[in-house]
Amino acid sequence: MTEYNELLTLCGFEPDEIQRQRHRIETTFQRLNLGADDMDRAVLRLRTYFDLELMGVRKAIGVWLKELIDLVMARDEGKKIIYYGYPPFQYTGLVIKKASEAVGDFYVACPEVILCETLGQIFGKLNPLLEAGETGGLPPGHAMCSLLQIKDGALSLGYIPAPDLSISTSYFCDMGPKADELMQYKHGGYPVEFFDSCMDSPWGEWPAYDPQLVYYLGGQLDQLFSSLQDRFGFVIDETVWAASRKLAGPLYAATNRLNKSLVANPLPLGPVEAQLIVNYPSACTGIAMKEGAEAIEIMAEELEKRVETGAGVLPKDAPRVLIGFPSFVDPALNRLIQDAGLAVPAHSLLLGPPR
Amino acid sequence: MGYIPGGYFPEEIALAAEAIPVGMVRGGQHGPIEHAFTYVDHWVDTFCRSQIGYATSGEDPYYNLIDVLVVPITDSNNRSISDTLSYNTDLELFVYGVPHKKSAEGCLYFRHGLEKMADRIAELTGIAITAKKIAEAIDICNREKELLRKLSLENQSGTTAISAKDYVMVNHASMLLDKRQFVEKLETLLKELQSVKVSEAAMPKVLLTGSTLAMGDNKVIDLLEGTGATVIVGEFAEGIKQFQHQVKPDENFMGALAETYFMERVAPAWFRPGHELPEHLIQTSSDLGVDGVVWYQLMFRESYKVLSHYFPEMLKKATGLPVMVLDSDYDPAETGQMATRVETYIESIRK
Ligand code: SF4
Repeated sequence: MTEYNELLTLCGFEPDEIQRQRHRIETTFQRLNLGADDMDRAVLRLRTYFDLELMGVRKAIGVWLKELIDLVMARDEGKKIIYYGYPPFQYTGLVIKKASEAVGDFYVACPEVILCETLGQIFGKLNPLLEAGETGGLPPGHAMCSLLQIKDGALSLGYIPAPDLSISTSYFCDMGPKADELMQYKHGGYPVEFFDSCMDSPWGEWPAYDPQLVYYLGGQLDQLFSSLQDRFGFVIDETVWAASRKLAGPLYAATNRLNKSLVANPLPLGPVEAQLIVNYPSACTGIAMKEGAEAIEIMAEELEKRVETGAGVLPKDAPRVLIGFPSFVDPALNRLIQDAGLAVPAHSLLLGPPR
Repeated sequence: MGYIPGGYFPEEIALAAEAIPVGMVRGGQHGPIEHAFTYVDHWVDTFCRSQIGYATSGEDPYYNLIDVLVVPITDSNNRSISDTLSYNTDLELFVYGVPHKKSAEGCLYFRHGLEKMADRIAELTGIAITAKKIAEAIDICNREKELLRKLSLENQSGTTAISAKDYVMVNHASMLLDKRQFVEKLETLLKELQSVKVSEAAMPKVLLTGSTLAMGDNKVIDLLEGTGATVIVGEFAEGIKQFQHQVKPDENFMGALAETYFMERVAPAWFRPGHELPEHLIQTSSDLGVDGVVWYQLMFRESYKVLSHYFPEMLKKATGLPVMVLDSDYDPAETGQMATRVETYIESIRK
């Protein structure tokens, strides 16, 4: 099975890396039912939608594939597995990952986002997961969340391992925690911790939130950490917080460097490519922290060159729009925005400095 | 003072400040749902969309009557009521959060919300909530709860003269009528019911439970009673007043109210973890010796929809009883299919 060589090379994998990782790569692709046709389609999708002239973009896509391999292989490789939900608190996953290093080998991530970035963006093959989720308790036509259908589908199809703990985003929507309970019921009864809050601020209250709500939320975080300590024996204290911030430092530094190019006119980067970066800090705590940061540094450097020469993905003075939250399941949507002539200099995590 | 009747608004607080609590408990009509489309998309719980429809129609007597609408934020569906109405209407909204975990901290946060609301009500009426006034209000509401509990025993007996539909109507009335008058009438009704008993029907006895049972949403009860089945009305997250727990006399009355309204009641499906509701229903259905459980949920109430996928298996394992899950969007078009399903279900559980 070497039909994946072209795809991986396109995604910035080095030949010796492919050689070293062969077993992991093949096990992953087999488990996910990805064959030669899927590899061809992925290559075609990348060439159609992504700006592969930029080595940073290719590397960034490669980092997502590496995250996918780490996710699928986590149980085979003897890791303890902690999943957290979406949208996560920035740093919470990272601080758990950092603290866990003191007691063993843990895999900590938001799996549904990794699946979207890879089986969605790269392979265009989320349908089997969605269908499995739909038949497994999150039916179509009832406004059930696709992200959770994907997670449940991946567990049902055996694509990803059941975790040792799932941390549920009980502070945001109702879908996430209820679907987490459904998955707990269906997939072996693994423990779920609910990190709760109330979405009860009235119009006009922001930014002066009721401090009692902040205390409640903070208390929930404390409880989560103390239950992690009881369950796994690792401690989260100020030192660990500081260390986890350092872990994410290079990623944020690289992103900030890249952001500076996004004030340029013409804009040197499209929304398809920018999207690749947004979910590293929210979904990953592993290889993306290092190699994701490296990919963004390369991208940043390439963009600086574009800015110097006045090159852009759209003509100068193209209308600039903000996307609150970009799609991360299908690059065709973001591509459509760019092809319509709209420049997207900012979205959620990618906020450049004011002009 | 209008309030969304999800069981997290203690009427005691309104009564103590001499405000009139009005449960916004209407539902079951399709018109308001269609009206609500102007303001909110389809993917919101049917009852919550109805409230948006009633409030924005300008024609609803209850919404036209109130000075303020209190929305305890239990889940995102209730939040859509308060967000939509505060943005699109002149109605004053008051919101406070209902955490999703039963814990001391959650209860404290809920109590904080009650305190904020009490301040606002007292400000609106200009009447301070004194210890004496709140003690009186707790007392009358406890009496009402006790009478509603007794009435529910009538409903459970299978030998009562009051139909399930009328039983629900009385429960709804408790959220609309003058408290003292209602308590008196309820006492009379209970006395009357003591003196007339009917013989137990040969038809199956079912427990009706679900997300919301609103005033006017009679379809499911009409269909069930139409088959001759005995319908016991069980736990509903919204629409049915919670009466199982009385507020304990305590100097710290806000603490006592929070304890009763947040900690003691059966947690609705949106609590996390949500095992309390299925455990309660398993226990109740075996205690009552019913022949089946009818799970009636409104569309897009995601917490109920998700639980309805695996609750039937849980109940079957624990009691052997079959569950029928019905979804409603208050749509007349759904009635035919619902009727067929109800008839088939009752036929299938006949002994
Ligand atoms: S419904 Fe909830 S879980 Fe799904 S994407 Fe929205 S916030 Fe996330």
